[in-house]
Amino acid sequence: MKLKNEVLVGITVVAGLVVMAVGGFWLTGRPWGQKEAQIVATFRAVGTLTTGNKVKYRGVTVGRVEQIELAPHGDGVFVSMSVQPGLHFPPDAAVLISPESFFGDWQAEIVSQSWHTDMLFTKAQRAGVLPGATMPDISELTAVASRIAGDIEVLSDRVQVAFTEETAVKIRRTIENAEAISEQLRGFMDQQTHTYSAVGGNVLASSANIRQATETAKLTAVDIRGAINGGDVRQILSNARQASENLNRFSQQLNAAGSGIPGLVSKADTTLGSIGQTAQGVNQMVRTLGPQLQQLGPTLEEAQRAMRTLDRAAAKIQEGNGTLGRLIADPALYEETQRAVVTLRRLLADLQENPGKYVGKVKLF
Amino acid sequence: MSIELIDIHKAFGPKRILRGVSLTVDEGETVSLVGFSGAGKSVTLKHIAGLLKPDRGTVVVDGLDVPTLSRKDLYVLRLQMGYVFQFAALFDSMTIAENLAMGLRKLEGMSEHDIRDRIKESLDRVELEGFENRYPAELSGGQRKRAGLARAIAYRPKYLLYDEPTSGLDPVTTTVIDRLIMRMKEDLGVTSLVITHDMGSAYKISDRIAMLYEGRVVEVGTPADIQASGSKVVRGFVEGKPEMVEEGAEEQGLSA
Amino acid sequence: MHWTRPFDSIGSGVLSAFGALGVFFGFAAESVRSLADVGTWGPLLVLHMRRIGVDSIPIALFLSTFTGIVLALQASYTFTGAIPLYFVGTLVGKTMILELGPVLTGLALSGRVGANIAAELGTMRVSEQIDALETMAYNPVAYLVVPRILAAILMFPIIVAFGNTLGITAGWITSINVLDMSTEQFVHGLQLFYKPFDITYSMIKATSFGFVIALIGCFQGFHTQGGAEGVGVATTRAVVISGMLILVLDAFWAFTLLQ
Ligand SMILES: Nc1ncnc2c1ncn2[C@@H]1O[C@H](COP(=O)(O)OP(=O)(O)OP(=O)(O)O)[C@@H](O)[C@H]1O
Ligand SMILES: [Mg+2]
Repeated sequence: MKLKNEVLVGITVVAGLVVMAVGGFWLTGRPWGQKEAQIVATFRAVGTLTTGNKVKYRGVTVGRVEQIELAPHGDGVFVSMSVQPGLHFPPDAAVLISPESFFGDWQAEIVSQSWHTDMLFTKAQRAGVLPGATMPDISELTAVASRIAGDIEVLSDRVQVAFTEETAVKIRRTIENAEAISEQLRGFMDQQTHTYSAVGGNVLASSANIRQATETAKLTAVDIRGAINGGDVRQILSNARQASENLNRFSQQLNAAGSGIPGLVSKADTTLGSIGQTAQGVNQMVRTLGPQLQQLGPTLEEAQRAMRTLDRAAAKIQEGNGTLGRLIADPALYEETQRAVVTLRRLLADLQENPGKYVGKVKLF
Repeated sequence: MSIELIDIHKAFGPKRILRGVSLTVDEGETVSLVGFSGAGKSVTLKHIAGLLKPDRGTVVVDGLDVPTLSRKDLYVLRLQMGYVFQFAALFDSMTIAENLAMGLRKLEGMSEHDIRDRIKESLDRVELEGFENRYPAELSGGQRKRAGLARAIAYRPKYLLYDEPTSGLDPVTTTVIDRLIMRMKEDLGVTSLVITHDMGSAYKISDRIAMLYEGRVVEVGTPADIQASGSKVVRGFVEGKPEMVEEGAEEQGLSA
Repeated sequence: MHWTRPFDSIGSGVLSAFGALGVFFGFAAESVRSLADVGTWGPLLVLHMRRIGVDSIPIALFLSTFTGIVLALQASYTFTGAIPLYFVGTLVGKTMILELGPVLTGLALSGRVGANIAAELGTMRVSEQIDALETMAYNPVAYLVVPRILAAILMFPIIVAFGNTLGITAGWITSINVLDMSTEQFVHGLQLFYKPFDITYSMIKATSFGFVIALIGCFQGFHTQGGAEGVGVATTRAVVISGMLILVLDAFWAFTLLQ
């Protein structure tokens, strides 16, 4: 049978359109005809996640990333995902974005926050939006490495190489400086307690708090020092974590001290202002160093958080009303603190100028 | 309703083919255009159909200035014009019947039935009965030429432009075509311009004969006038005497 | 030699180049204008969709089948050991859809379709058939050019869609039979980096290639001079120019759409 041109062309065109439509849809990997559930999660950043990436739950692909959009004021990212209907997620469900394999394809994983206590999840801003976190680079590499090679040994060896002699020296000097500061702070507090012990129980309690805090700071410094001397990367990381926890405690204590004082402190003093500024400076420095620091992972992120808390504590003290300000007007105290601040500043400037000196580029590959 | 060529100039690059051709074909008249091969006869004819635009001068057909016509008006005019191409120019992807139908389809109010009748009638006129479903490639040169002629007369134009309708045909068929040309004039009052190399045909069918030479019409007249022409070029041409033409050309060259 | 001679030849060279471009764009503009003449090209469209489109499918399928096979083998050869084998699927799919499907089909069809159009119209030009159309009050551009260009524009995406599909299928069959891969792996790789825009991009390319091939073929055919030799020249030019334009357009789309 000879088909008419019209028929042949018609068949071809229809078949071509069907192939295009069906093939195009099939390639997206979406299930046929199923109604899908939508979930939305919020993130600080999404790395290289793109629409069409897989959504997994307990390792099983359950959907696709549909849409990625910046939150209204740019202070976050919303990711919409379509997933199989009828799935039950844990109550503290969150979405973790991580690389799926070594080759740049990412995935969004639905997890329980309790599985990943070390991750910093965002706060869900509204109902129906899940918290989210994105694996930072080092953990991404670690995760990939453990997934692909199953052997972190190789990796940690390489990390160790990255800690050069010079780096170690710089870090040690930094810690010594920090130690000196805390020593000075302690001395200052001792003197304060001694001189103004008569002022009242409240002040005394607060000073005791501060004292305790500086004690903690000192401890921290020792921890870090130990870490550097230790040499083994895994040990370094765990020591560093210990140190940062201490630091954290230190700042909390400082915070507590600050909140104990309000009734006494009447006006901010320049000296305390300097402390605040310093803390801010440290904070900013940490941010500047961000990319490098991130290579050291969540540990340092925690340290960063600690610094922020310290900053807040200082600000609180500064806001405090009068009495402490007056206490601090004492010239001896002023000098001591000033010296401490100057030391910190110098260190800061150096850090800011040559961040590489302190945190060498951690080259893994 | 006449064809008027007014001082046509046409050059292809440096080659100046027409250098002031002027000729009028009156309504209902048949004029033959003769001249040497390569003189520009076909080029002249294409100007009338608007296939070529003159560099200078103009063509007036049916009172319309052909070179400046809009496409729409030109197409309307062309449906009044039949053009017989020197080499037939049949559409070789179509059968003879489809070739003939092309022009007919452009006419309004023709049913498929009318078209079929008209195709048959036109093919009969050129003695190609039953060739409807042949393809041009399956025809001889002379048959193709006649099919081309049939295609031109099929839609009964008021003007017919023949480019060597009888060259390459046997004497009998030539006579048939000559008679056809005459009948078109008598029956339908067609105005025709015929390019021909066959002086016998020209004398028979023409009211007047024009000679194209060196890019101009050098002489126009009735067949009798032409036969009795005082111009050595014309006489030499019609009598087929190259020496006489050369002589005449030299004289003209001297006088010019 | 007079001192103006070099300038004269440079000047006339430039002028003739612009003249040729002008003629080409005039022709393209005329084609667009003739779109209005639906009555003339409408009835012919299906015929040309058949001749340019349907009849080109076998060669396009043949081409993409072998392309798919070769892509799969070369990908696995390149990826030896270091990269998971499912990337064969990614490479076959992406390369086929984004590049080789449209471009190879385009190049092959510039030979089949472009040459065919140029030769056909060229023959019509030198045997005065185009003039004959004119004398019968047909707008030759509407009658000859428009339906061919439209048919190419409409059918090329269809041809390329079939080609892409078959190429990927061939790659898949090769992967599971010759390479040590499973269907799941191949499909995983295939879907891994797929974006719906890939197909749009492929179709945009196919459409533009179809347009270029038909337009150049028609232009060369329409402006053929001389006899059989002229037709030969026109045909060669049509193939060469449209082949070059396909590659240029390919780069153009990559720059404008993929960045
Ligand atoms: N399109 C064109 N481009 C360039 N030159 C052309 C063109 N058409 C015709 N010529 C030239 O114009 C001259 C006249 O051609 P034309 O076809 O009018 O001759 P003719 O008088 O019809 O001759 P014949 O009796 O052999 O048909 C020839 O030299 C030809 O080469
Ligand atoms: Mg001629």
